[in-house]
This record gives sequence, C-alpha cells and structure tokens, in this order.
Amino acid sequence: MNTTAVLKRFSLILPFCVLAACLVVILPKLHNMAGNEYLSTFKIYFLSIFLEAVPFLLFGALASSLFHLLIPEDFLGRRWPKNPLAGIAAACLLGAVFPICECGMIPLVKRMVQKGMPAYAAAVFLLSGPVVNPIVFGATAIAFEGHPEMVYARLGAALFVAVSAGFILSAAVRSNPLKHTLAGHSGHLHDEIKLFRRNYPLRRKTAALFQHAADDFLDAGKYLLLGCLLTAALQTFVARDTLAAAGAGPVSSYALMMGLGFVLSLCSTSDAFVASTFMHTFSHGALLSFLVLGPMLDFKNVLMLLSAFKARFVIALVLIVPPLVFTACFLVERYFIT
Amino acid sequence: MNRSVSPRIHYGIQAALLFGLALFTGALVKTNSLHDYLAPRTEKWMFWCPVLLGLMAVFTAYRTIAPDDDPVCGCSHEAPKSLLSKMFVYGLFILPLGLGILLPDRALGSSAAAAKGFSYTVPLLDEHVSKDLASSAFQSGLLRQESGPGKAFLAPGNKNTELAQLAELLYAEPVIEVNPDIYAETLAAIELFKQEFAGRTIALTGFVYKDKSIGQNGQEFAVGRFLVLCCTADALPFGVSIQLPAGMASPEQDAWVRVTGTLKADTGGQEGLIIDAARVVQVNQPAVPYVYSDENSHADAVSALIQKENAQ
Repeated sequence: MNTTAVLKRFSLILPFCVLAACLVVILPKLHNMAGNEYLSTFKIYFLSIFLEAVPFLLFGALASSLFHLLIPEDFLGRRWPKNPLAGIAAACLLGAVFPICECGMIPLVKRMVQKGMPAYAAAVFLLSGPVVNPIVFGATAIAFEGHPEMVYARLGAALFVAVSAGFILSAAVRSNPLKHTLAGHSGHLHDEIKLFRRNYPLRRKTAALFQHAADDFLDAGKYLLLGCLLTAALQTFVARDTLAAAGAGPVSSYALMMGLGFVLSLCSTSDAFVASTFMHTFSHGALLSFLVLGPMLDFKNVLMLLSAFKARFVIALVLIVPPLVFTACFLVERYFIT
Repeated sequence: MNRSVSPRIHYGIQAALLFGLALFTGALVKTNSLHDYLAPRTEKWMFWCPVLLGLMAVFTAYRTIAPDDDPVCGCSHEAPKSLLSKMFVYGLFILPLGLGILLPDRALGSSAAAAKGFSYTVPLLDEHVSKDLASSAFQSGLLRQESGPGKAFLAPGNKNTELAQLAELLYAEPVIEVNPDIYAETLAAIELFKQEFAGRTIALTGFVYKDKSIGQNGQEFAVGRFLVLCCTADALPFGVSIQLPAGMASPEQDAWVRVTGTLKADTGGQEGLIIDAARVVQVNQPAVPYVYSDENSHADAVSALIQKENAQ
C-alpha cells in the first residue's frame, strides 16, 4: 500500500473522529433541546415522511435491480414504439398498471431509460404514474365523495398534463437524459450478471440483485432525505394559514396551491384529504392544481429526479409542468366544474 | 477491474448505514412504535423493510471483502466525487438514525396543531354536500322516523350511510363514549345529526388546544386529536369546543383530559360541536395519541357497539 492510499484512508477516518467528538460535546445540549417542541415536531415530520417513503423506495430499488438483471441492454430501445403518439400511450398505460408512488418510480424509470426508453416516454410515465392509477383514484374518491367531478377532473387534468409534456419533450429532447450512461464508461467491458443467461452460481446472482438494489436505494435515498429535511422544516416552522392568506386572488390562489403541493411533498394517496380541508378557502380549480401538481413535482421528487437525470432535463420538466397544470385546471374549473 | 482500498471502505460504511437503518426500522416494528410516524394502512408496508434492508446490508458488506474479479462492478453508480460530498451523504443517512435514537418520542402538540390549522369540524365530513343534504332531509322530515325505542337515522347522502348507521348505534347509548378507534367517525356522525344529538351526554379524551380566537374568558377551549391519514406529517388536527361552567379551572394547553358533558344545541353560528362540560379530568397521554380512519378497526368498533346494544 502506498502512502497516498494511507493518506486517503486517514482523510476518511478523520471526519468521523471529528464528528464523534462533536457529538460528545453536543449530546448533553441536545438532551436539553429535546424539550423543545419545535425540535420534536420536526423530528416526527422528518421521520414520518422518510419512513412512509422507505418501503416504496425499497420496492422500487428491487424492481429496478431485477429489471436491470433480467432485461438485456437496449431492449426497450428496440421494442419501444417509434411513433411518439404510440409511445406516449404506452407510457400512460405503464403508469396506470404500476401503481407505485413517485419515490419508488424514479429508480425504475432510470433503469428503463438505460435500457432504451425514450426520454419523453419516461417523463410521461413519471408524470402520469403517481396520479393516474386505481389506488389514487380510490383515495381521491373517498376524500371528495361529495364531489365526484373532482375525482375525474384530477385524472383528466393529470393525463392532459402528462401527454402534453410528453409531446413537448418528444419534439425537444433528443439526447439521453440520464446523468451517467454506460456508453460513457470506456475502459472496461461491461460484464454484467444476467439472472437467466450466464452460468453464475445462485449466490452470485442473489448478491448482484441486492447489491444493485442497495446502490439504487442509497442513490435515490440521499435525495429523498434532503427533500424530507426541507419539507419537515417548512411544515414545522411555517403555518399553513399564513401560506393560505397569501393566495387571496383568483390567479394567485392557483400559484399558491401549486406552490403548496410542491413544498408539502405529500404522498398522492393522502394529499386529497389535505386538499379537502382547503375546500372553504379556495376554488375547486386551485384545489385541483394542488392535486395534479403535487404528485408530479415536489421537493423530494425533484431532488430524486436529479439523482437519475441530467439537471437540464429536470429543469425542463419543472418549467414545463406548472404552466400546463395551471392551464388544465383553469379550463376545468371554467367549463366543467359548476 | 482493479479495485483500490478506498471503495471498499465506502462499501463498509454503506453496509453499516443500511444495517443501522434495518435495525432502526426493525426496532420500530418490534416495539410497536411505528404508530408515532405512520397510519395502520401505511404501517403494513413497513414490516418487510428491516429484512430487505438487512439483506442489502449483508451483500454490501460482502463487497468489502469480495475478490477483485467479482462480476458486480457497480460502475453505473458512481460514488460522489469529493470526500466532502461523501461525508455529507453519509451524514444524511445518519440523520434519521440519530434523530430517532437521541430525541425522546413525543406526540404532536398544540404548536403543531396551530401551524397546521386546528379544525372544529371533522375533516372526514365532506362539509358542503352532507350538510346541505342533511338539513334539507331534516326539513322534509325524511331524516327522523320513529321506530321502536331507538331512532332510525336515514342517510342524507349515499356516502353517509355508514355514518347514519353509526349515529343510530350511538343514539342508543346512555352516555356516548367517543371510542379512539372510531374517533373521527363518531364525531362526524354526531356532527351530521347535530340537532338530533343536542342535549345528549358525551365523553371523550383528547389534548387541550387553546386557540387565540376562542377562550378569551378562559372558560373555553378545544379538545381534539390528530387524524393521521398516511403519515404523521399529513395529520389533521381537529376537535370540539368545550365550554366550562363558571368557576371551573381551565386545564393547561397540551394537557390530556377526559371531558364529560352535554352536547349543546345552539352553537351560535359556530361550526362544529360545542360541549357544555360537567367534568374535566386530567388523564395520562394514551399509548397511541393519534386517531386513524382505518376500515378494519372501524368495523370492529361498530360490531362491538352492536353487541353491546344487543346485550342490553
């Protein structure tokens, strides 16, 4: 072992020692701070959002790992319909068939793009998946039982937004949206285990499955944690009423509810209940914008997208989706909800 | 692929983090403290997590000692570039563990309720429709049909059939006990048939919430719970107003109390229920401070009510 390696090792261990020292000093103070109600509220929010997402992220990571090990490279690239219309329809169908929430979807979509799914189809899948599925339909129907039109409006608006975003992206994005691609890795032959192909022992295959899943989990998990931190801090320190007071005008209420949907990062199965508590405060169109935008884009979701996709692609999504949501919800409010 | 020492250390750290998370989630499941964070319907997804995380930890740990020609190269996932960002990422994963272990478990209280906006009506109740239908049904005499000793409550809307059945069961009780298993449903049923239930005796347990808008004379406060839908972060605080008789000491903010009193008919235009308290007793915080809207526990609680009624 040469000296640089030793130095590297030390440079890794050193921060941990410093961290341990800091913890020893802070710990007694932390116990005093534990009496602070804000801190305990923050802890509850942070952990509950994180724990709620963990199972879905784990299943997503496992599915992504399985997908990676089962499906040959460029499989989707050869099979995916070339016609954008058919491609978008296929992506919508996929979204409806796989009822996973956005936390679990991102690792899976990343793999699908790696195997040749076009960027626009990935976007349609990501945008429609969390809203357009039977589970979310049921949850929304319970929350808005007196207003069945809201349930259909939510699905319709979400489909409209996903499909239009798909068309825009299919015309605009040609390059691979993934952060790092296998092709970019020159130097070594990509000798991957395929579960049913090569004669690797079962132990190796199992190891590969869980190692890839662990990588995916840690990759997306760090962004999930960042998102949870931000959301929990916001929910702890900013009163919902102060936010609601800001959206007094008819148009500003849309902006506010969309902002709220982005910031609160609720699961798409529970956000309908939260939205129904705003029934007295805002118009149905504004509530709809909350219900449509929230699952598509939010703090933790955007951060997790950054784990898989290039910043340009994510920014494009963030810029395209809100105006589309606004248009869809405004029109729905104007012409369909009386 | 030639591996240097450094990635192996990282795999070691990652394995330790995954193992820590597995232990943490496992402990939460084992000690039944998941309900601090999740509702029953999201809780059931959690049960497999410790196992999956543990398996991931074991196989990641294996990477630290795996031979160099191991076919899993992991090259599509690059570890973050700089040491600082690596430390930051590991710090992020330590955070939930640290917070969960170091900070004591405390339930959400009035400051969280104030930030979220305490509701004096039951969030389950879809206000607009059910109220309108209820009052129109009431006026047209559809609602009340005397049948035998009890009263039959006709559902004003199809959604509210369940609540109407519950209201019927509750109406037969001498003292309406608000069961934590069907806390929101019970209050929703009573609120829906507010006029019918006026003057009845009710007993409920909850935390004390004192709003700025009510209780200027100190004789008014609210008792409520957090209704947890998926996770505690989306909990909705709601409850009923309590009016104390003159001379009775008002309990402290955030205290847990059991209130017995009569339901007031005239709420003076105020939304929700008002209880004229006869007795306010300070109690310990229940083991499960939150309430959920869970179909299974709902069915259990309702069948228990039916059995009780049949026994009488």
